[in-house]
Amino acid sequence: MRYFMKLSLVLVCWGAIGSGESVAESRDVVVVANVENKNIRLDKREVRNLFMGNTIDVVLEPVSLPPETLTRAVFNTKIIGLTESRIQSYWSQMRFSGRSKPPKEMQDVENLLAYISTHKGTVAFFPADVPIPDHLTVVYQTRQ
Amino acid sequence: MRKRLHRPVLWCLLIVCFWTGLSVQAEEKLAISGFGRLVAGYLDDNNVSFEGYTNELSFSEQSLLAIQADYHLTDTLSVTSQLLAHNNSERDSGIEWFYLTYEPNSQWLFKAGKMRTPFYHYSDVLDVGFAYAWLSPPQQLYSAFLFNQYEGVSGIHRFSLGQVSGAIELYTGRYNGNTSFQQKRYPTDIDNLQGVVFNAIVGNHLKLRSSYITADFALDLEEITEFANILRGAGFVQSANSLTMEGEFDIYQLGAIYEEFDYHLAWEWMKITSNTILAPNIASYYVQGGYVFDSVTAHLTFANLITSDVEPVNEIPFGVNPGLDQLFIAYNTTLQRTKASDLKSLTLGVRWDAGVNVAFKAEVSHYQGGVGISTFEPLSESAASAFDERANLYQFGMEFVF
Repeated sequence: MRYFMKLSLVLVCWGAIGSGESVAESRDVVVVANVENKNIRLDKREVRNLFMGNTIDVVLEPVSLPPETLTRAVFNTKIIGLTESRIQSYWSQMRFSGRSKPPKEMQDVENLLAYISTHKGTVAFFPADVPIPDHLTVVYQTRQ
Repeated sequence: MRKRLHRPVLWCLLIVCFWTGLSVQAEEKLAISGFGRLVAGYLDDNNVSFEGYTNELSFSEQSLLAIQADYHLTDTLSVTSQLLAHNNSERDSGIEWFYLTYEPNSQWLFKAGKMRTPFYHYSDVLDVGFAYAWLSPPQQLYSAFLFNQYEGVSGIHRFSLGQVSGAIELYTGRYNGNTSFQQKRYPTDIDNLQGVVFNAIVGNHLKLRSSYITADFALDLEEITEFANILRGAGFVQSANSLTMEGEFDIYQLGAIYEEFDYHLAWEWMKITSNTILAPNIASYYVQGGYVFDSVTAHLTFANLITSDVEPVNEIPFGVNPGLDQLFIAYNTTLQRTKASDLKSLTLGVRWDAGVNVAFKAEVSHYQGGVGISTFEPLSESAASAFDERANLYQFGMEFVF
């Protein structure tokens, strides 16, 4: 399975080279929240559940990047553990049965960071090398 | 058919116009989405039809288009309507869902209105082909044998407990409409519908689902009801009652899905029991394995439906006089005609997600089973005896969401 995860990442990275994104800087992601309690840490299962519309002990509103971005592909592969196609399929089931809705999406990293910075109780994922302002909290990060 | 499509199209236009007007004022409050599917199918047997498919290529059995509008009245209150138009003569086009949602927080969700009945894992999104890998989910569980909708209320409570993230749903309501089988629609009343659904995600990969539903039902089987009345008039009350489709049913369901990045395994089982002779007790299950490589999923499914034997009431004497003999034969023929049949199938399919909102699928299913109310329908009397109880269904199609 690891072989295919790596192969998928390579394929995704190939696609991203054309769009000018640096492959190296985007191989890991950090999950960042705008919360009062700076000690909050989440595990992979909790992050996954948050971004798949399931409940965890901490109430946070997830915000995402568009499907075609490399950072989202890395997040899907390393944290959600599903391909984008299967995630889209899952959300169509949730949306059209009125159970839950996919996270709000910001068009790029700059807009996402600006949104998270100004909205309490939100959580988002970023490329690992994006400078995170002090008032935000890194709640989870993939291995670097 | 023209009538069937005409009204919903008008509705769509009216509602879209209305919402377009609203959206100028409140663009953020309104979300329009939708889905559609174009599915072609062909059955390689000229003696029978199966789910409307015959040995002529047909695009009309499952193709459809739907628009959903969610309008947020406040932060916690919204109205959702889903309009559906399709070609299948067994189903009405029109409003499929129409409900009010109250979501006070992320733990609680309440809905009231017209909704799809959540019998099994995909029951409430059966029309959203984009939500699953098959073109036709296993007929043994997902056939049109049951009513699709209900009018009522539902409450969902989401919770987290250690490694488990779960949701429990309770719903109650009624249904007054039609049930279709074998190209015929029968007026149906469902009362005292009560159900509970338990969903859980264990760890990162395992999804579990369990549900229980009970209701009182009454189907008007028209010509059978007329015959039952004749029997009752002749004093054979037990025989007459055995031809009545009225009583209580209970449905039990269990399911599990295990998902890894490059494969998935799924299993679902259900059991229907009822206290009427005409509605047989049924147990069905499927097992599915899927292999995922990037945007392509190849899957294999084995499904099985086992029906219980119908016990006829031996009340009418045979060989006493020709009139009674006629009644005896008619009674047993009627029971035979309404019999359900066991059905096994093996389905091999491929899904290719060409983009984030469009997928192409192809699949072939091999079915083994007799003629019965929820399986194969003979195209003529002679075809019924010529049918070798085996047929292949070939399907290809496109699914999209927007």
